[in-house]
Amino acid sequence: MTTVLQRTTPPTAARGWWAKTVAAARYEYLMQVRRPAVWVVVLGLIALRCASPFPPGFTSSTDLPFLVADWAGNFVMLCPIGVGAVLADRARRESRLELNDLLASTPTGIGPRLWGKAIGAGAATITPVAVAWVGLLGYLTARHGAGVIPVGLAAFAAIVLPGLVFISACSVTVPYLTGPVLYRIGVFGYWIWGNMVGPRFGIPTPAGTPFEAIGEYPAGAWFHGTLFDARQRGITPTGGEAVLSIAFLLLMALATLMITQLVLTRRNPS
Amino acid sequence: MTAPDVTITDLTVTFRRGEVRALDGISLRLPVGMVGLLGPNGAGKTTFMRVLTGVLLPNSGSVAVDGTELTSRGRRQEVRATTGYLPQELGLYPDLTARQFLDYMALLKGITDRRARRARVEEVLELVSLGDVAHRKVKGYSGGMKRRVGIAQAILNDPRLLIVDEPTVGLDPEERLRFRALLARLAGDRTVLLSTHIVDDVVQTCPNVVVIERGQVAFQGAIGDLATRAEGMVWHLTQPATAPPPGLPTVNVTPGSTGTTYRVISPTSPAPDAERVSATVEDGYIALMHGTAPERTQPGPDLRVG
Repeated sequence: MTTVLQRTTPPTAARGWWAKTVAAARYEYLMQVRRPAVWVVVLGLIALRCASPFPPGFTSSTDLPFLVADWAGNFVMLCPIGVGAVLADRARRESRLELNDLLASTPTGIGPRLWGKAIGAGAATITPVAVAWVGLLGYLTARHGAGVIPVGLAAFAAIVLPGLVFISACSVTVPYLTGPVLYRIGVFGYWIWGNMVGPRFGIPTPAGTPFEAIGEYPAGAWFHGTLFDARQRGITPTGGEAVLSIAFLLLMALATLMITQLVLTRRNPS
Repeated sequence: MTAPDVTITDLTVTFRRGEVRALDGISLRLPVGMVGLLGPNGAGKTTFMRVLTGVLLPNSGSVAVDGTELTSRGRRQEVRATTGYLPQELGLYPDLTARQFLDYMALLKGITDRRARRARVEEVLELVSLGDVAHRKVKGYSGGMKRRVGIAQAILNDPRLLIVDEPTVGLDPEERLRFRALLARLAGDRTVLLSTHIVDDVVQTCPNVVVIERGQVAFQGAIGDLATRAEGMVWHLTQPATAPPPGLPTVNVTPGSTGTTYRVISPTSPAPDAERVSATVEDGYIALMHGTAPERTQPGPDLRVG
């Protein structure tokens, strides 16, 4: 009997951990960015907050870092809840679609698939935020000139992105344990408690400390942005505290993913 | 490329902390070419295949490929790189096109060179006759088309060992025939393990067969030998002249102008007017399943058929 396929060089299991992660990220991005819910929920929450930007009057400022930082604060005030909500069903998706056996039978382990999912689906969910931010920068550039662009890009990287990366990492990992519904309730509660319920309410909260995820420290330290909970704590953030705040969020994201990889690998020793 | 030497020794898999023995000391050696894996629902076929693909680890026993036992994760991943698997419960990403899905699977299977991967994807798409609709999202595909995507992903990496679990379930008769023909063409110099409970699929395509029942090997050997298990024990009885005695395994029932003919298995003549007929593979299988066959075999791993 003749063979029906052209023979190829046999693929090897060890080849291309990074290539497989990139591949997983690419397809996870593609699948997530096409979902209308991602755009509707995330842009809806941004629009809801930005319809009456806070604090009143900052939009008429000509101090570009201050202007951009407060816009960034408005962007990141609610939309991470949406980012968490639309990412929450990614974790157990393969199980729901009965793809686990098929994927487990490939020579690619859990690691590249988990990291690919975090990078790809996370980036896809942050895409609407980035698109809206670019739109805002276009508007501000038309009003204030091209000087807005570098400040705007820096503010996005320092104020908006760390919190979203942290929430994205949690949202593709924690639901393995909790399921998506409970996680969505949890992320809503965490965001309100951990970032918006300040010390004035008299309950312990990371709000106003470097461990909040809303970007107040980098906004205050580097962009003269308006301070809320940090001011209530009597803190004027320094550059070092801003770095600490960003590093904390990124390290927590990293730790969450690494712990999840470890747990999933132990659960599926094959 | 040569077919792998797959030896399974005393394989045992239990679930629910040992309460359920899905596989109970299976030992066999897979021959080259197509091998049918028969057994009733719940016999352990899918569990056996999941162990072979490395998806599930056994509680005891071993699987060795080309003499090396799959004890380490690295070795299992190496073997997976040259194994293809079509699971019974086939899930696909509904929002990807067939071409995208196969490209993704090819990457996960380690085909990282872009040009080679694209060529391979197009090749398997043509092979399963999906080239014309490869740009459509999988969620719009029929059950048969999804199965074809499944077989396409299974052969992407040119596997030496191809494992297909109930591939024809839910397919219309024409699709089923196409599928059988495709698998037979793929067999060539590789080992194809075809699990099914449709005896005819095995009869038409597999020179060798393994029958699993309650987690144990009830038979392994040439397909013709399975039929001989029932030789001399297959009878035709026609109602209303004679009704079949209750409890006899009935292979089929054929209505006719003179009455309804029952094909039954019995070591002795079930009625004075019973007509003895020659046995088929299906008769042999039914005889085996009902314990009517003369003996059950549990050959060791040295028995290699084909």
